[in-house]
Amino acid sequence: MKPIRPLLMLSFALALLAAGVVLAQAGTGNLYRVTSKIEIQGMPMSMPSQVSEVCASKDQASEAMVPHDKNCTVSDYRVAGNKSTFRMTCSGKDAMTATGEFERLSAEGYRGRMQMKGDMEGEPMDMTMTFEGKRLRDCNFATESPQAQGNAMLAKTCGEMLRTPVHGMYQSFALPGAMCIKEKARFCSAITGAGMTPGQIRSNQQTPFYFEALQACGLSRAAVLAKGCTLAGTQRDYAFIAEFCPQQVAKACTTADPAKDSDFVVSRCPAQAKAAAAKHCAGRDFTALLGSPHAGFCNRYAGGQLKQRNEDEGDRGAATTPTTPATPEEAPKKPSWRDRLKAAADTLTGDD
Amino acid sequence: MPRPGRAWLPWLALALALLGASARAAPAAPPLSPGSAPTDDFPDVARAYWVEIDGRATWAGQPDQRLPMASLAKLMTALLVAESGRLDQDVIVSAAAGAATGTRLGLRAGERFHAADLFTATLVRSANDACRALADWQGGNLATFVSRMNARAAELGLRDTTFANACGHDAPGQGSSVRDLAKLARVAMAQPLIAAQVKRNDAQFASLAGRAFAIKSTNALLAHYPGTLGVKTGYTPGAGRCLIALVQRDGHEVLVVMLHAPDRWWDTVALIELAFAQARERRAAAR
Repeated sequence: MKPIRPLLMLSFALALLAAGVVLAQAGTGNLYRVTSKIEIQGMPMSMPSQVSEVCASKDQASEAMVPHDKNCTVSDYRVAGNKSTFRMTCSGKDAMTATGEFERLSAEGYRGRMQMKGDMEGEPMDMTMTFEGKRLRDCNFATESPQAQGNAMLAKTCGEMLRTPVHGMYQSFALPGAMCIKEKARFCSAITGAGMTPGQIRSNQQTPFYFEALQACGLSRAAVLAKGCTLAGTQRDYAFIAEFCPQQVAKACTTADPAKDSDFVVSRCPAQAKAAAAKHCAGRDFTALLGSPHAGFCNRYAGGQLKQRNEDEGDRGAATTPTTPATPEEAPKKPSWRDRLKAAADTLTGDD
Repeated sequence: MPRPGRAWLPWLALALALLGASARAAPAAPPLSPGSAPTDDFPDVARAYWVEIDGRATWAGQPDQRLPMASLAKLMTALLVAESGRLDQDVIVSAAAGAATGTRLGLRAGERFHAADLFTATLVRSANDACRALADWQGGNLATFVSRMNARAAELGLRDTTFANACGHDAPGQGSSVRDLAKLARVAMAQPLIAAQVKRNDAQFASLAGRAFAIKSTNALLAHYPGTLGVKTGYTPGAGRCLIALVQRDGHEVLVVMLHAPDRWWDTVALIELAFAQARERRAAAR
């Protein structure tokens, strides 16, 4: 069963509300005021009666008036006096059966009943609708029929959704049989037209259904990331490379600048980080790095060093004597003159 | 097993869809799980240390060990002075303040200052003479002020904290734990008067007679580490190098308390870096 079937079912039900009477009058349709009541088994509360105006064809005297999709067949359409009855069977994913009857009460009115049974997304569904119609006047069936109005409403709904397209709507626009499939091109253009730069991919990838939507529009996750990684390499977007482009990390390490790309170098390029730390951080007093372009790098490297230092301590056993912590370097720190002076001042003056 | 009682739900949803409703609800982020006890992952950074990430104690070593606290004691002094609401008054430097040792501005006994300026000097420069002048003025004498410090500590539930002097000199009975100091720091930072001073890297003021002072903060993080909000340094031979640091970055907040930390700046920075990395991981995991 196609996903659009529920829509057809409802329009079908609406059409039935007005199909009981066929009168030879001027105009292409009859406008009825229809009062209907729906009861759904298992629903905790009863739904109130609904009043609507329905434009029905004057020519619909046969099973052809019953809208249905290719998986549904209408059978046993019978007219006996003022009464008509029919049966409809739908196969496929959400199989269902429906039986209906309507009775013309006079030239100006009718009443009827319809019962639908089946499964909806795996849940059993049993719905009964009773209805009664009173003719108001002639109408234009081509534009005012429930089916025409349903299509117009659907088009309007799809159009409104497209005003603010988000990836999560892809099931409504981009999957086969989707309710707004006619607008797939516009939807896909909107979500892919926003671009696929590394920044956009990074900011969007947490949004629900980002990659699923692009996939439905013909762009696989791999293709999207390949494009993003190429751009990331050009733009030196190392945060993106670290997160999405593992195959490019080694090459990126050779071009990354520890001063500017400290997060990337410290987290992904151990050899480069070690060399840069030896050159720019080792043996430096913390306060001596004021104004140094490598201060941020040295700070981050210190975090990594502390972690490794304590992991190593843990490996050797917790009972080892704490060593004097080094600055972020591999060799033991040799106190700078500044440190020595400060230590001397501390000894002389006491508090700070 | 079908659930007939809910079979109408898809139809109701369909009806809403037909009415033009387009639901685009973003998934709600799950709440962070409640904190567990802090772990001692970095035992070599200090004799005792405490790290909170976004208010949750994450790492700690010897959290309840009583140790000398050096000038971190000035946070309690500043808290009492701030809570007194008398910072708009003038202070005459006492003889004891004029003779204070350690880090000092060189205040002279009998010199007059705005209390707010001595308050700034106490927190920014950790000046012992300014601190002692405030304590003597506020308490009438040092002993009275110290007893108020101890009473306030008890009030705050600082079980491992007692004071023997106002400014942090090593002395019997002068001690605290990193757990207590973290709590004290939180209370102090909730005082806008204190929060405004501990984030200053420098300050200028003058005595009422016009003698000018220009001071620089003892907290190196303020000038060197982005996102630092304060709060206090300390050093005495007995306490070693001490530090309480509060840093905010990318919507996260890290509080570090270090007592007797041989390499307090680098190791504090390292702890903060690791803490922010963990905060980012927590946020990512919560998504």
